[in-house]
Amino acid sequence: MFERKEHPAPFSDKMPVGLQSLWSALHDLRTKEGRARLGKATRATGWQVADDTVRAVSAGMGIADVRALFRGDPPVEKPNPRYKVFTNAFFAHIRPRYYEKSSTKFTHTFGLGFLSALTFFIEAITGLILMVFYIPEQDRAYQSMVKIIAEVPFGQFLRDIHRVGAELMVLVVFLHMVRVYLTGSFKHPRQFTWVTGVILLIITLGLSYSGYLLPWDQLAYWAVTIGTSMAKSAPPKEIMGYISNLMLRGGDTIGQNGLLRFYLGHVILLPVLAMIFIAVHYYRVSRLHGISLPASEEESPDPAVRKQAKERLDYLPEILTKELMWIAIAVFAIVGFAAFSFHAPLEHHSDPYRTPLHTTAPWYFLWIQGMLKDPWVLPILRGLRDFVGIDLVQFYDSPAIQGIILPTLIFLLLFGVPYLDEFWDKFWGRPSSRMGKNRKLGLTIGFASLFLLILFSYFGTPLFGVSAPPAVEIGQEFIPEECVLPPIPLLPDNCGEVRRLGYEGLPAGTYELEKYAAPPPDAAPLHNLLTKMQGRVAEQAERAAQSDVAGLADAKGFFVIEDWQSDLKKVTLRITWTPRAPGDTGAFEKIVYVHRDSAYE
Amino acid sequence: MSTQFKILIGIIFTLLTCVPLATIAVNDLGRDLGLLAPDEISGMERRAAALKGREIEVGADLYGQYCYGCHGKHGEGIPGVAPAINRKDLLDGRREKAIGWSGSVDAFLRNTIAAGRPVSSRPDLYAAKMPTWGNQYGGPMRPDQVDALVSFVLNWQAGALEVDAWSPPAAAVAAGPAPTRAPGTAPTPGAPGAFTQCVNIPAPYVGKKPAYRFDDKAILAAGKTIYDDKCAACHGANGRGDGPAAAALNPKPANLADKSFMQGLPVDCHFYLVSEGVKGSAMPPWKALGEDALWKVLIYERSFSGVQ
Ligand code: HEC
Ligand code: HEM
Repeated sequence: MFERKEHPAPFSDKMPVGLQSLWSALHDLRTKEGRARLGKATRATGWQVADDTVRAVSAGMGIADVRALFRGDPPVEKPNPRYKVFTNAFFAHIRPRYYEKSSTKFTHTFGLGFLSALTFFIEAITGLILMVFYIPEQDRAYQSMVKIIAEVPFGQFLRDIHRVGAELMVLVVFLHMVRVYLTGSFKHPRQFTWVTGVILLIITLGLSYSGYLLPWDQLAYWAVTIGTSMAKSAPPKEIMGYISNLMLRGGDTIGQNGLLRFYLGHVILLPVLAMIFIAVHYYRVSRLHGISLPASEEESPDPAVRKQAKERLDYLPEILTKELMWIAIAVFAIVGFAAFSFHAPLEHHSDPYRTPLHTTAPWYFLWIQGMLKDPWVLPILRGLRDFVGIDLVQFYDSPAIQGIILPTLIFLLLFGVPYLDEFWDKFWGRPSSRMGKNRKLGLTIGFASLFLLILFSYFGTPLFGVSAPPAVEIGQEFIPEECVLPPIPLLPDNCGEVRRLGYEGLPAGTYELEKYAAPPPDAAPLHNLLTKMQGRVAEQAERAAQSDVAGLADAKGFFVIEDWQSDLKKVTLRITWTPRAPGDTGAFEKIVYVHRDSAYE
Repeated sequence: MSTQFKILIGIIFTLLTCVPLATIAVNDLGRDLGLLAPDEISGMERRAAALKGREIEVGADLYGQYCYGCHGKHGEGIPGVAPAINRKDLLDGRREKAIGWSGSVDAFLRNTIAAGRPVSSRPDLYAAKMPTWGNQYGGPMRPDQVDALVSFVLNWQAGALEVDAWSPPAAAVAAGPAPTRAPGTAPTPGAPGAFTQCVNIPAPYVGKKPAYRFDDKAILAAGKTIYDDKCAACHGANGRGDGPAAAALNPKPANLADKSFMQGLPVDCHFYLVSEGVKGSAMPPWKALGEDALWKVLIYERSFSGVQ
């Protein structure tokens, strides 16, 4: 920039070079050809500056090369500057220079690890914005959720995305693990990668669970209350149980302290851990070992197949553009889903004095709840005790075993999978193989565990094994206290048919259910609802007719709708029956108020 | 797939993502962007209304649990117990102005409900005291519950009743029959047999007797608890009619320690008056406490004079 000296300056030699070149530039401005020369020089200089900037940012590639990269042209300079990036750029260190071709087949990974990372970043971004509006204080947290939904532009949308992303992340991380297990990719040399993966699974569950509490509604409060109540029984109960309960909840029950702890865990501790471990995981996967090849190709007897599988596929540009494309597609899918068909639930304000009828853990912990209700092991152990005399019941039948020790063992086992696998092969003295046909035992165990997981999750739902008195269940079916979240993620919640009919659909009146046993063909929706209620009530009456204990003898139902206030109706479901046991009042009443605007879909 | 093809797909999906984003923008910012006619409402306004509606539902539920016993099922008030709160002047700000409250109506309601009125403003009109509800003042309710009650009470605004809950003592007489203070023959305390109401007591009360003995210590103790809580404010700790609230009353509460007065008040009539209240005075009906409790109070009251 400073070297032209065509026009010697008056005090030439004494002047600094910079001023000399300025002088000669000013000189150039006077003549036409001088101006042409100047223009050419500045263009060259400008290009130089731009090119230098791009080189600095891309850690080695000039403008021409970046352009070539995105056009799919071969690199312009030599040696290939696309590789330089991986030694010079900080962030590129966790990305590979190339993958082996077959390892990038979609049906080998299904992009699940990538999607895990993507959902994490979506959570981080939406979470940061939500943090602007959220107040981790027990008297204001719920109010801040209401504000986010009702007053912040894009607020509900952000919340929906954050929720969709959270559910998806748990799902995708889990499926990623299943994929890695099924393709045998955890085997040597990727054993420790698996271990970092299990740590990530635990962090993911922790992130999701800690976030669950923050809306501070009934759903949040009770799901976390039953979850942390397990911590209370960590053995020895008087020490570990006491301490872990105190640390998690910040007191005997969850209050301000507990909320703040979960909040800080959710926004600082766990995200930082996640970032660290995702970086390590990524480094190991994509830099250290590369993604595994499909077993059938890696272990193929045909050297040509093995060779072809290992052909290089450069990260720049093939993988990069592929990842960008998948980001665009996945973001579109998530944004579209959140915008058009999903709303994160917000139940009533948490209330420690009002336990919901059926409290459940979040879906990904239902299996633990299921173990507490388990229908097999306990009966078998009871049988052993009663008929054989070996009493294991006293050890097994405790929240400490079922809620803490067993889940801990399961996660320890998960950590140990690659090492146990190696041990097993060495024990039998056979070579390690990732092919399905050589892993019959491993795959059987895998599928059996998956089956048990789903089965126990089912046991964990209220569908199985718990039921309130029949009248209460009828009330719950039609007018649940809160909209009921299905045990499968991302499905809409169910607010009961009364709320679904809404203000307009509930004309004031006293309806004796008996009179609505059969609806005319073109009955109004309310009529159909009354018929359905009568069906449930009659069912109980029938049961009572056949049994001395079950059902509700001579059960009768009344449904009363009153105009209560402007735009507000009071709805009462009353069921009466003949009491047969002492303490039975013979009546049940459920009252709910329905406002014109309250829009429960 | 060629690089350019992937980039093309990426761009297409990025553009497609703008569709849901634009939908949300219109939904949330429709009003600010000027896309809505005045009578249309935006998605965000609908959400705000839905949450408000749900809050009112919560308030209605709380009202049905905690308030209706004093303020009536529909906030119409219970004469002699507590004022109507489904009331035009309370909800349109006249009442607030009249007592010199310079804040908004909802702040007035929020503060009244949260703090209660530990000191009754008009014991002559209302025998009950507005309890403290907010947990910041030691009551049972969280702030969001108080907020929900405020929203519920405010929702009466449209059809609020035009009633005079706080008529000044003198004006009440001039205005004729007010709900709480029907003119009647005011008894002169102290004169035996002065209770005209005792002449014709309704049939169910005639000859009623307590199931307890008049000197049962446990009953007297139970009666005292109720008396101190509910009656002492007017009738005085020792039944002399000199409770802190009595000063404002006209007619004055009876002197229950006066032997000759009590002799003119047979047990059945006493029970009737306590149950149904004394017409033309501030004495409210206490039926709601239940017969058993009333008998205990009555026995305690009669212990002041010793007349059985
Ligand atoms: C024990 C009876 C009682 C209960 C229960 C009660 N109140 Fe009151 N309330 C009163 C009395 C008495 C007053 C008048 C207080 C005064 O100024 O002396 C009052 C006053 C009020 C006022 C102010 C009215 C005015 O004109 O200034 C409001 C508002 C109110 N109550 C709301 C409520 C709500 C909401 C509840 C339910 C949480 C409730 N009250 C429960 C007795 C009661
Ligand atoms: C936040 C959570 C996680 C992220 C972001 C993540 C990311 C990734 C990515 C991007 C890959 C490359 C291959 C692919 O896309 O499938 C990968 C591979 C791998 N992951 Fe994960 N992962 C996570 C959790 C897990 C878990 C829970 C496990 C197992 C317990 C695991 C074990 C592995 C292993 C062993 C590989 C190597 C697979 C191979 O080479 O084929 N990861 N991970």
